[in-house]
Parts: sequence; structure tokens; C-alpha cells
Amino acid sequence: MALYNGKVYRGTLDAHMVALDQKTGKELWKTKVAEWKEGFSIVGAPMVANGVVVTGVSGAEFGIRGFLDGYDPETGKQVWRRYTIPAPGEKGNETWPKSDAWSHGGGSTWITGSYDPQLDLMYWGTGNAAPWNPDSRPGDNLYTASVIAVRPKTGEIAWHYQLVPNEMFDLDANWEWIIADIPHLGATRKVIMHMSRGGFLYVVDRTNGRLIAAPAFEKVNWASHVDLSSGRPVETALSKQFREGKQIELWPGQWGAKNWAHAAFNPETGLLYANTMHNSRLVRKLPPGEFKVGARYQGFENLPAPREAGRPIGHLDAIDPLTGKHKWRVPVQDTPSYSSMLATKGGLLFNGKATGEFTAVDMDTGATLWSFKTPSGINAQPITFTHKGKQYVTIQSGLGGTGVLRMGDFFQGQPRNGSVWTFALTDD
Amino acid sequence: MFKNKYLISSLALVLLAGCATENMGPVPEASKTGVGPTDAELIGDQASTDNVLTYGMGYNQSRYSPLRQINKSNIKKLTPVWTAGLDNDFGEQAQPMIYDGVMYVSNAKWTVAINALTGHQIWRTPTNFVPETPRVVCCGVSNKGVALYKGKVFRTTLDAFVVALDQKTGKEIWRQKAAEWKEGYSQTVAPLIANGVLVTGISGAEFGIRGFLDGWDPDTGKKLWRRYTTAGPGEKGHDTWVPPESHLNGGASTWITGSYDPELDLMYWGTGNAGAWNPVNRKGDNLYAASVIAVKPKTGEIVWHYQFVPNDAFDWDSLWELILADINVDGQKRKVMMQMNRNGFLYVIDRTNGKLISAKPFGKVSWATHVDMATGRPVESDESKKLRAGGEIEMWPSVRGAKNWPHAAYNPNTGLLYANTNHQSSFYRFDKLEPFKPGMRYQGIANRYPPVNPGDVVGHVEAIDPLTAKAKWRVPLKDHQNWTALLATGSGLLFNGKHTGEFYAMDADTGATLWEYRLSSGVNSMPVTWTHQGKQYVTVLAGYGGLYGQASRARFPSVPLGGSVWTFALRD
Repeated sequence: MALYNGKVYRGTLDAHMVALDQKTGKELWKTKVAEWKEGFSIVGAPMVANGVVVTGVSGAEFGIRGFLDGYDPETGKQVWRRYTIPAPGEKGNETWPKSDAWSHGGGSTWITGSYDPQLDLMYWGTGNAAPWNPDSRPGDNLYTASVIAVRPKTGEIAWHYQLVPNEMFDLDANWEWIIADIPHLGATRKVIMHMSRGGFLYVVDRTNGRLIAAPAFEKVNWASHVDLSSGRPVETALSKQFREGKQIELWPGQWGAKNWAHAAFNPETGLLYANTMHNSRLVRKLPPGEFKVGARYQGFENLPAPREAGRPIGHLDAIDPLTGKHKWRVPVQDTPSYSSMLATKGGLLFNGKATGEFTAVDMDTGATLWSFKTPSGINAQPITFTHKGKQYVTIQSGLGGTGVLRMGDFFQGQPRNGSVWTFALTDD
Repeated sequence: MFKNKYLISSLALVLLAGCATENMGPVPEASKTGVGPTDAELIGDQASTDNVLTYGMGYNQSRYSPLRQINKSNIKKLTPVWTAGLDNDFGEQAQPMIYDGVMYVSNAKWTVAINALTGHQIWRTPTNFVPETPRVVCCGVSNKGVALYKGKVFRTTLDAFVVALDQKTGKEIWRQKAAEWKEGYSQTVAPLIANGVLVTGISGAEFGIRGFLDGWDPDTGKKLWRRYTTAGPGEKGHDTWVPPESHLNGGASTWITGSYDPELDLMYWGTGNAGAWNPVNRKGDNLYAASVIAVKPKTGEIVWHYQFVPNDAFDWDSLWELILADINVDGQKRKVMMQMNRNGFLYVIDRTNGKLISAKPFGKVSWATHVDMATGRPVESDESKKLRAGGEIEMWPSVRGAKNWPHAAYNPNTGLLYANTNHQSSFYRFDKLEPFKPGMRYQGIANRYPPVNPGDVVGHVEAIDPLTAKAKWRVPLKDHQNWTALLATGSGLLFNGKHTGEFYAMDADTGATLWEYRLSSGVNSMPVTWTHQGKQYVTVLAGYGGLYGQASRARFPSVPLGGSVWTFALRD
């Protein structure tokens, strides 16, 4: 949701934007964003930036053409639309073949962008290219798997940086782009930071889109490194084998070295804190078939890879953004965590587990200090706030999302109903 | 240092065990085979606080625990330690059972086993009740709980099946049809294990059923006996049905679990209202509707009966808990059972023979002037005569009763009953009774409630002397009634709950609220307390529902549906 001037804004699964009255919950306007039957849906939270309600869209597994929309918060009237894939005649369309591939090329925008009010720029990550199999779309395929810096008033793209040209492993670049001013080579740099699905941690100058650093933070075998002068990943021989149609064991697996569950950044420690994943998959490209509106459009075989006993399936990590090095990491053996992290000045991290525990973790060591089992699994985003000087922590419990689908039969029978939990210190 | 600490905690455990055995007899030996609970464990349930094995926290259904660790001075430290979701919007009424560190919870949709210490679900098994069944459920789709015995979990289903599950896996071992739901039969009752027999009751007295109890072999599911609660041809009491065939639709359901006296080997089951509510088609006393029957668990034989309301015309279900206690009456210790009846009278009955000892009103009663102690029969008032002559009356209590099913608790140390009672009338008259059709409502009554205005007292929480029915204290309930069973503890606490979601603890001496916690949905269930390694826990289900919840939904617009289990303990 987003709140602004007495209203509550949200997207709906069937791709509408809705404004409700904050006091009563009554609907004030409802605007159709896209046609769900064509594969579009909305799960991301809208963003209000410089007086405009901005929403993204999901559907890159269904061959959509991604976009951002700006709406008038008062009336719900569309102010602009910025497709994340340029049409013929627009700059960047030359990165697509001369077919209609651009018109169903993916580039979804399902995670809310960040916003720098001083620069008046929003930073939105874009999703994978479609179909996953790249054979039908030679070229870089702008602006898929990219970050775009967008003017909220007009939708104009001020600059872009593409993380993965001609992306082929579902390497969404949607995850949070954390804004910070950090020291680098003796200067304070205005940056955005992103722990990518592909396993590299990108630090980008947010004034101009120049890459500053891109170290790996997890095991990566699809690219040897990111070339800092060109900003392009250097694909390995393994990736070439994949392009030739061979099955490969891909690190990180298609779920990513990190999925959407957001990292937190503490400006005092200068570290990022995140639930990461340590997993490979056996992948191979397949013919995606003809594009059909509203149907899956992927062309990808994605199988479990052998996993040696005792190998962690993920970690809770504290990471230096410029080096990708871990200050500490706590291995996770049972279930991957799809909970966002909350960091506090009090030196705590709040985290959640699919088995229901809401936990507080020592930011300096990763040790769990407190835990409470909520009625269902946690795959949400904790927050903390104060009222009359007292601090509260709130989290939603309710197993779901992409994580639960992958956690095996055990979770299929676990309770899934949602509830809101608010915690505070006891008085004595 | 550590050694000393260990010694101190051992000592604390011994002391606690000492408290636990007070008034409660010896703690039973746990099952040696690990397949339990055994008969001895069921009989000793109240003394053995590590488990909760019987409906009512003891075969006597007193809902009293001797535990004192959580008390009036530390209750403010009571905090949730875990919760578990139940994925059920129909409402939660069940009493959780606990055996060997595993909690068993039921609702209309699921049977669930939960690690009692962590709250993690071990298994859950769907009931898969026929989705159309709620059509024949008068008063809220729900389930009151499971029974545990020798490695199995027993429950009833809304569509009237009795089911046995494996305690370890939740896999179904056997399933028996108790009755045909399309004929108006349904089940929400928690089964009773008594003397090795699994006994179940039935619902449906609003649909013209013929009530019964069934005895089953717990091992195989074989039906051992059926005892109809309306007397048929050739049976004693059949002459109380005029015309004789009226017993076939005569009601007398058995939807609240009976209590059991292992020494006398007698179960005590209350029976429901007579069917139809309108008595136009059934002259006579209508045995055994609106009665208590003392039944042998091995055979189903009725040893004695007492009828609270002959020719019931008021929906005076007499199903509520029949609490067993040994109390002083005129200087003599008597084996009694006590019931705060729907009809407003508090009955104390000799449980060895069914003789009435006392029957005083505990709420406002207009339908009868008193109960005649010589005959045991209520003396109907002029209002009731007006009703029977076809007039409309403002009836006290309303058809929902001076108390509904939410069970009372009884503390043997104070000798008092504690209950959520109702203070409400309804305008009531006989209406045209349509001919009986299987599976259709069979009532023939027009009933309406006066409006509730903000601030109206609609019920009480009260402490009541069973022999005088006088309140030692009563706390008025404004706007909304409570439909939660009470739990009394040896430390003088009462646990209670509200439809608005508050779970709270009261001082049993004064009725003052000492602690309160708002749960995720309304509370209309049955709290329990138990121990593990010497630590006391309290568990209750949240999940708005039941008759009152269903009927009053419009008055609780901001209370979300959705079931969950909550376990509390003192924080360190």
C-alpha cells in the first residue's frame, strides 16, 4: 500500500489501481492498469513520488511488455506510461531483433522503486526478459534486467544500467535498490545498492548510472565477474554451453542468490543484512513454443540439483557492499527465509521464518536473541514504530508467496491464514 | 552454584507435585507401553496436570485445575509463548486435549496435532464433511473436541460420522456413520471414553430427529449399543408420548459430552429439547427429553433418569455440563451432580439415584414459579398457561437460556460454581407447525428478541452457591454476552473470554479482572491449563463463531473470523 493525502493506494491481483478513503476504507477511485487475461497482474506496492502515484506490473513469465504507470492521486487518471521495453523508433529498440519479440519481452516492475527527492529520480529494477529462452531475442534487450532512473512527473528515463544483457536465467533485477551515501576511494558517493538474483552486489552511482562495484556475494558460475569498465558481466564457458542447448548446473539456481525478500542497510555499520540462498539448479533451455496471450512463455527446464548432506540452503548474511565480503554469516539448514530484514539503531535485526518464528538477531554476530512462533509462516516485511515514546514492532504472519511453493509437501499442509502481530517491551 | 540451583528447582517440582495432588487423589501411572492414554490415566486426569485427557478437565467436568503456579500476584506476567493457525473460519469451540507433549485440536474442518511446547503442527487431517451439511446445523458449524484413548484420536464430524485417527500420524483408522445428515442429524459433540467404550451423542432436535447415544468399540469401530433417548414401543416411558409415534421425531438430542463417575460406573448425559418445540403433536411428559439419564457405558442401559421439564415447550435443552461433586447437604456428604439449566434453575441431584436435592432459580425466570421438590416437576406459571393457550409471552429466560452451553467451572475448595450467564428475554409464541419432513426445521415457534440498547446488561459472570443458587458476586456483562467455558484454578483464578477477542483472568473471590489479552479473533471456546516439566501453561482457541456469534455477527463488524491456538505462560 501507499498512503498520501488522506487516501490509501493499492494494486489488485487483477491489475487495477485502487484509492480508498483512509478513514472509512471506502473506494474513491479504481483504474484498470492492464488486462489480467493478457498475463498482467499487480502484487507490488505503489509508490508516491513527487505527487504522483506510480505502480509497476507483474507478468514476465507470461510474455508481457513491462511498464511503469503514473497516476493522479486525486482522480486516478493516468498521467504517463513508460514501457520498460522501447518500441520501434524509440531509443533502445535496436537491442531487440526486427521481429515482434520486443512486444512480449518481459521487463516487469513488480518491486517498488526507491526515490531520491533531491535528484527527483525514482530507481526501479526491471524483471527478466521473455521468454526465458533467449533464442528468439538476440541483442541486449533493453531495458530488461536493468535499473532505470525515472522522473516521477513525466516517466522520462534519465539513465539506465543493464545488469544482464540478453538475460537468460530469470535474473530479475527487481529487488530493492537501497539508496545511501557511502565513502568510496576517499569521496562520499551517492549510490544505489542491489544484491542481485544473479549473485553480484551492484553499487551504482545514482546520479548517472555508472557502475562503482559489483562483487559476487554468493557462489556464481554463470559469469566470472562483472567488467567494471563496460558494466557487463563476463559470461563463463558454462553459460556458453547453456546457450548451445546443454544442461548445466547453474549457481545460483534460478531462485537466485537472493530473492525479493528485502535486505536492510545500516548506515552506521555500512553493512547490508539479508536472507540469501545457497542453491543450484539443473537448467536447460527448451523451445518456448508460440507466444500465446495470457499463457506461460518461458522455454526452460529447471530441475533440482544434487545437494551434499549438511550443505546450508541459505544464510543470514551481513555483507560489505563494496567488497561483497561477509562480516558474518549464519547458515540456514531447514527452510529458506523469504522475510525482509529490519535493522534498528538498537543493534537488532528482525527476521522471520517459514516455520512461523519471528526472531530478533544480534546485528554484530548474527546470534538469535529472541523468538516467537506466530500462527503461520512469515514471509513478510517487519516494521518498527513509536507511539507516545514507546517502540513497537509489527509483522504479518501468513505462509505464502513464491517461497511456499518451493518448500515441499510439508508446507502444503501447514496453516496459512494471515494475521498481524505487534510486539512491545513488557513493563517490568 | 549450579548444583544448588538444580536442587532448588528439584524442590520446586516436588512442591508443585504436592499442590497438584491436593484434593485430587493419587497421580496415575503413565502408560507403560507409550500407547495411551489408559483407563487409569483418564480416571486420574484431574490430578495429572501434564495431560488434559477428559472433556471438562476431569470426568467430573468441574473445569478445575489444582495448579497454583500462575496466581493472582504474578498473573500480569502471563504472556503468549506460541500460536498456531487453524485455517478455519467456521469458529472454534473445542477444548484442546494434551497427551505426552502433543496437543490435539479439532474444529469442523480439521483435526490437528501440535507440538505443545513449540506450537509447530505435527499433522492435520481434514474431516471432509459434506459441504451441504450446515443446512441441518441449527447453531453454528463447529466441533467441541476430541477424545484420546490407547493411541487413537476420536472425533465426530458435522455430517454425523465417528472417526478414529492414529495419534502419531493423523491417518484415519476407522470411520463409522452414526446417522444420516440428510435426515437432520449432525454431530459437534466431543466423544466420551468411559469404561473402555467410546460414547457419542447427536444433534438435530430442531429438525425432528430421534435422539440417541451410541457406544462403539474404540479399537474396531464396531457399534456396541444404541440407546435412543425417546422411549419407543415396549420400552418404559413410551406411554409418555401421545400419540405413540410422536417419539419418532421427539428430539432429545445429546450434543454435550456426558460426565462419568468411575466408581458408580455411570455416565450422566443431559438430553435436549423435545421436538417439535411446539408441543401440539406430542402430549405427555415425553421421556427422556429435557432430562438427565444415568447410563451404563458397557451396555447403554438407563439406570435412572430425572426429567427437568416434562412436555417441554420452551427449547429447554438440559444438555449443559452435569458437574459431579461430593458436597455437604444438611450436614451430610452427598454424591451429587449439578446443572445450571437453560431454563434458569440450578439443579442439584443425588447422582446415585436421581433424587432431586435442590432446584433454585439462578436467573430471572417467568415460565415456572418454582420446582416442586416432592414431585421434582416445575410448576408452570400463568405466563406458561397463556403460552400453551396460544398467546405470546415475554419469556424469561429467552429460548437461548439463562445459561447456554458455555460450561461452568466448580472449585471444590470454595464450593462455588462459576459461569457466564445470560440475562435476556424473548417474545415467544406457538406458530403453525408444518408437517414433519426429514431434514427440515421442525419447530412451529415464533420467537423474537427485544432490541439490545448500548449499555444494556445482557448477562453476567457469576460465582454461585449450588444449593441456594445465590450469587456470591456477579459482574454484569454489557452489550455482549460471553460464550466461553470457564476454567477455575487452585490459585483462585478464573479464565474467561469474549466475542470481541479478549481472553482474561478474573479473581475468583471478587470477579475483578486481573489480566487481559486480545486474541486474533473472538473467543467462544474452552480454556485449559497444563504443565510441562513443572511449568504451567494456559491454552485457549480463538475463532469467532457459535450460535451467539452467528446470530450476532452484525453487532461485531470489526472482529475478524479465523481460528488459532494460543498458549500462554509466565515470562521469566
